[in-house]
Amino acid sequence: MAEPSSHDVTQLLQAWSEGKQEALDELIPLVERELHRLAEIYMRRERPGHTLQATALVNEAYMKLAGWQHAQWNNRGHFFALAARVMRHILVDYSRKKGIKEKVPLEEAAFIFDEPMADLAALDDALKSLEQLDERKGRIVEMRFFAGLSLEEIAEVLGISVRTVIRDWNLAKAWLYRELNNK
Amino acid sequence: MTPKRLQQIEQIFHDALDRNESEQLDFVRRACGDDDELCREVLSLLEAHHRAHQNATQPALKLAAQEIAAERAQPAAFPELENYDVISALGRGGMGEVLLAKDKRLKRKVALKFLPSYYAVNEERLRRFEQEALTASALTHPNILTVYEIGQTGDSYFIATEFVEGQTLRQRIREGTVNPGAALEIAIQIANALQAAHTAGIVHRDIKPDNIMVRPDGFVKILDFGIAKLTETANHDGTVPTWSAGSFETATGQVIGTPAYLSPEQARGLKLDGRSDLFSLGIVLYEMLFGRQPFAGPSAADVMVAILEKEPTFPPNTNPTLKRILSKALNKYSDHRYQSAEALAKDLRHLQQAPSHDTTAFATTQFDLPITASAPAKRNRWRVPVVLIATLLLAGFIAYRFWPVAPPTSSPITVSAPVEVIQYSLEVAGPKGQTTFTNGAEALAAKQDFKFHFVAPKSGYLYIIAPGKDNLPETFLTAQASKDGSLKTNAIPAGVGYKFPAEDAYWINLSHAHTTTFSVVFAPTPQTAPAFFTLPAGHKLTISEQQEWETFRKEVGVQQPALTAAQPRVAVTVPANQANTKPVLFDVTVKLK
Repeated sequence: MAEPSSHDVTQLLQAWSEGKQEALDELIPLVERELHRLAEIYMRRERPGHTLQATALVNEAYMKLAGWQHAQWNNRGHFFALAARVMRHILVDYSRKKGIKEKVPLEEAAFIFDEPMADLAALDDALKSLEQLDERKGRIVEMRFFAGLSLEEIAEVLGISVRTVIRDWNLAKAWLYRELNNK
Repeated sequence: MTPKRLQQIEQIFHDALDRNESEQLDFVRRACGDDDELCREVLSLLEAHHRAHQNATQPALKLAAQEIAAERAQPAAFPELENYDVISALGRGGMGEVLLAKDKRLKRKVALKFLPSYYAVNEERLRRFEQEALTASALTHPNILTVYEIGQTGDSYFIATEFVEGQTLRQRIREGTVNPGAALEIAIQIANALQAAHTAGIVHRDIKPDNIMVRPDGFVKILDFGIAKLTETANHDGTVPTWSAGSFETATGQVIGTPAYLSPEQARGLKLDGRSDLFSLGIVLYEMLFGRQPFAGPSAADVMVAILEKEPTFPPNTNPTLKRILSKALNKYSDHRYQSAEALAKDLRHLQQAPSHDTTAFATTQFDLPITASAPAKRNRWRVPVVLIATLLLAGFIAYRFWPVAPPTSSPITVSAPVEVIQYSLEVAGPKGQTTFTNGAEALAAKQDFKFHFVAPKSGYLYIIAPGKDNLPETFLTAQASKDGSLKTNAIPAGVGYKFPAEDAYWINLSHAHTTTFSVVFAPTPQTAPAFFTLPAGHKLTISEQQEWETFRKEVGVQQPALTAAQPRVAVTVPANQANTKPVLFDVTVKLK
């Protein structure tokens, strides 16, 4: 498979942000491949005490795919939203493949889970039921949890106020926490 | 639920959050009017909001990276190897995946132990992995697993070893298929292997039933010289041997497993020699014969205290020769133990060949005494310091950094502790007094009732508060306590909790129908405030009482031990100055299968 040119990626992102869903089908495999590759490199570099920065990883994927010269905020924001979705897909898929018994350790997810072990498949299910009631809250959780976007960045991607993002995020968090810890 | 309903809930939720926490409950009650369901929804979300950590981090990417890297070691994608055809996965060892493969050249089956690729970037792991191979390959003995080679494919490292068909001794003991004659034979073979290793200057350091394979023909193989160290290099820099980097630590540095097979010098973190292995072998032999470990306790720290302080006890009618052999192997002081594996093997062989040898005479049937519920080691003036050491060792500290431990010749140990702590043990077990499980694997199927066991080092008053609907504390659980795991029931007196005598062990039967999460309050004095502590058991807390409960929780702080089938016992330590004056609160979560 030939390397995509940064121009292609920029155009695809542009098309997607304008509402062309088919652009997504072309983008997802590119992003997925890049995130896989970078995640592996990061793990190899990792030393105790060194924390993998979600934003750095997605940023790097973006820089690689879209190129520095095209790195406008608008595209970057959309790329992050996309990366979040891809990341969710990779992780949840992985968790489901492993089966329910073997849960994925998720130490830092204490804000959602009572226990340091999180069942990502269960999280995904809870997220889906929340999305059915309020799609925007689902997007916000996706971007915050799976791609590490700041509340401000999320506000910009979604074109809403930061205050609204905070409100949505607070409710979504409480909702997921309750769903996951009451079962 | 409909999107519209969510909006309604959300509005009240946010309006409540805009108010002071103390006003929120009243506000919600007013705002919801007589819509009880709405009230419950909002309150449970508020509760979740307060409990969820405020500073959310973004763990997913890090996790993704680990999982993606780990995927390479998954059996689903067997590696292509130049010299081996992979047949199947055998299981997961202490460090990585173990695969069954066939050597293409020599046509023999081999076991390939892989180091997960993300460990290969960790020099310490890589070093340990290589060391395991090196150490073991230096030994050639029929009772020691033969190492063929250490190899690499791509980023992955592996060790190719002899493939042994059979079961681990752990499995055999669990199945109850080790009769006394077989036990002696197995112990003799282990001693023979240890003699070879010790002669070569190698201490195994981790002799336990999980590391011993028994072939169907009765032949024994010792596995996993993974933490073995060349004794002559162990202390060249004057440090305490890092046993904590061995079987007790997982990849993430968590303390796991059992210290049940440690020798006293290992428990103290002192320099080891082959006699340490002989102590461990003594424990293994004892367990094979009597079906239980000689040094047991409700928590890892208690086990270590028992190893350091308690003398092993023997069932009545135990053959005196066997008793003498075991007592010598299990002597606390290595100078008084067998001085070589050979000497131990010799005594065992004599016992085996004695004309009067009668299997029923030298080992009685298995104990039917409750084991985990046995009273903790008798209190004495050394107990607190020793528990301190044990706890700190477990916590992964190197004790000697903080407490200069006197050399073993000048016992008892002198310790000056900067912070005195009090240790509580929490444990769960199955419903029918299954207190004899030694590894926690059997109990706690889903939907099963269970028993909760609480050991406090001092007297006090016990209260149990269980969540009702929507995870809010509505009721006191009417729990029944019984002593020493027997099913004698004493209802917890309503309102006053259960008076716990010091160091006593009580079991409380809990029905899964009630809950798997509950709170335990253990107080030095009877609780009269907040007022709900004086209410009769089974009382549903009103909203303002719930609020008092939340305030109480914040004031005293919450310990949150999680008990699972794999880890049914947890020890929690609390600074003594706190525990002596204030109630201690545990949020216990029992995870069922």
